[in-house]
Amino acid sequence: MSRTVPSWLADPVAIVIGQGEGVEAVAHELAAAGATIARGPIAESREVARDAIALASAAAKDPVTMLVHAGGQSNPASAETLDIQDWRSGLCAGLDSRFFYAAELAASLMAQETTGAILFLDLQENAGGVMQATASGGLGNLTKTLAVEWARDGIRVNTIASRIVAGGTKTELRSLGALSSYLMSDFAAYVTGAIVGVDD
Amino acid sequence: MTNSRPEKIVEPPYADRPFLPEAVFSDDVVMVTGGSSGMGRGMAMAFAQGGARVAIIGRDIDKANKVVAEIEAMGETAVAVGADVRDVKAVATAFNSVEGELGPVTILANNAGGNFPVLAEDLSTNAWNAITRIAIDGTFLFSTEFARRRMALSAPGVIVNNSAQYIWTGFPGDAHSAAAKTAVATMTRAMSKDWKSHGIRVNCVAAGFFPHDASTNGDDPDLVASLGKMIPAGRTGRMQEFGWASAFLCSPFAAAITGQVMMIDGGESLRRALMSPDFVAPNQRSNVWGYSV
Repeated sequence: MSRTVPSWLADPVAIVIGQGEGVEAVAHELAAAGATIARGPIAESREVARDAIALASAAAKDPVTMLVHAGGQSNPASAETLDIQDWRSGLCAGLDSRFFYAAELAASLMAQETTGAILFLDLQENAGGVMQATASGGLGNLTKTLAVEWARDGIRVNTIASRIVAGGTKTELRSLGALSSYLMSDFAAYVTGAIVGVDD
Repeated sequence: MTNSRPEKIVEPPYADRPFLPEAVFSDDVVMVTGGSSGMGRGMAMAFAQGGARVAIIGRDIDKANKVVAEIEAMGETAVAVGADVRDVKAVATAFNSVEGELGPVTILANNAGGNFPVLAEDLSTNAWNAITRIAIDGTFLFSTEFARRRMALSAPGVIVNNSAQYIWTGFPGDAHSAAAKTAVATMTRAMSKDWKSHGIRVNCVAAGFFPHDASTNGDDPDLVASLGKMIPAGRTGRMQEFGWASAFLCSPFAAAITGQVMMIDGGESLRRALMSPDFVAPNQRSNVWGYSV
């Protein structure tokens, strides 16, 4: 069998946010499936996300229609030891930035009257630490909310919540990448608002 | 603030467009319970598209044979076996019969199920037993028989179970299936843990509304289109999408995926509004599954 997924994607531009083994595996597999990959920073505001999407579109010479957003590093520290800077930084990467990018991408897609797909990569709620737990809860219900709000715009929103987003074996990372490519493709056009894992 | 913009309703690729590589299941024997019609048939066709040898298990052997003929027309191999999935002896007999013709079963797709609208207080013992046991006992019996056979060969295997979009919310007017389909989802997770060390993966597809000839109003295209408007995605599911989701989870691309329940419902289970029409109790409705008097 071929090592990578078939050409499930018709040459879209995907902006990929975040770092780590999981998100790299996803970017690799999306590229194999046919996407052009651009990168962007964690965004502390909608304006930052808007600029990053514009920059990525210009560099790729096509508008961004897909978003993959991973979170930050998990921090297992006990809640009372976290200061507000740690807390805000974790919540920004885990929740706020995801919303800012999603909202900016959706607005851009609506303005262009075109469709798109959004995938959030998360760890499990119980992966460790209060920031992870807090952000995961918010992200899960955000996924379900945005999926319905934008369903009639042809914009799908899904989350993969898995320990493998933080790293895994070659087989695990390939399955994560293949699942991501499937969810971003029109073969999964009826999957939206879903939260799925890999082996969790 | 509201704004108005044109709707974008995204259709999937056509059923005949290859999704997975042509020979992805060419070494596999796939057993599909409830494969004679509807969603089971949808799964069977997706596996056949990937080159699998397919066994259709159904209570009505004539209907099962029709699906076999469809698969053979695709140039693939299939057999039909008549069995009631609740019958312990019939399960082993079905496996023996299929394995005699096609070789060891490597993938199991549990689809057998039934459903109908009913007020809970009117649900008889027999009706409750029928709907819950086809899904719960049928899935348990076929899955455990499959796992024992795979373990005896020290060989891996994959199971995909068919569940429903209403499993996390309840479904008034559907007590039997609401209980049974969630049981299938949680059974999926438990079995995935039991059999992980044996290389047997177990996943579940929780499906929304996928009309087919045998479903209520499924053979009326105008009605199906109008029913699609109640779903956030703007349409009902197309059977090939359900087949693809199931085939993906059983494919080598999903080699590390196990214990998952994947919702495929176009957002149907998430539809809600803070302001809704007055609540009408199921026993006051003209249609038990509707919302109005």
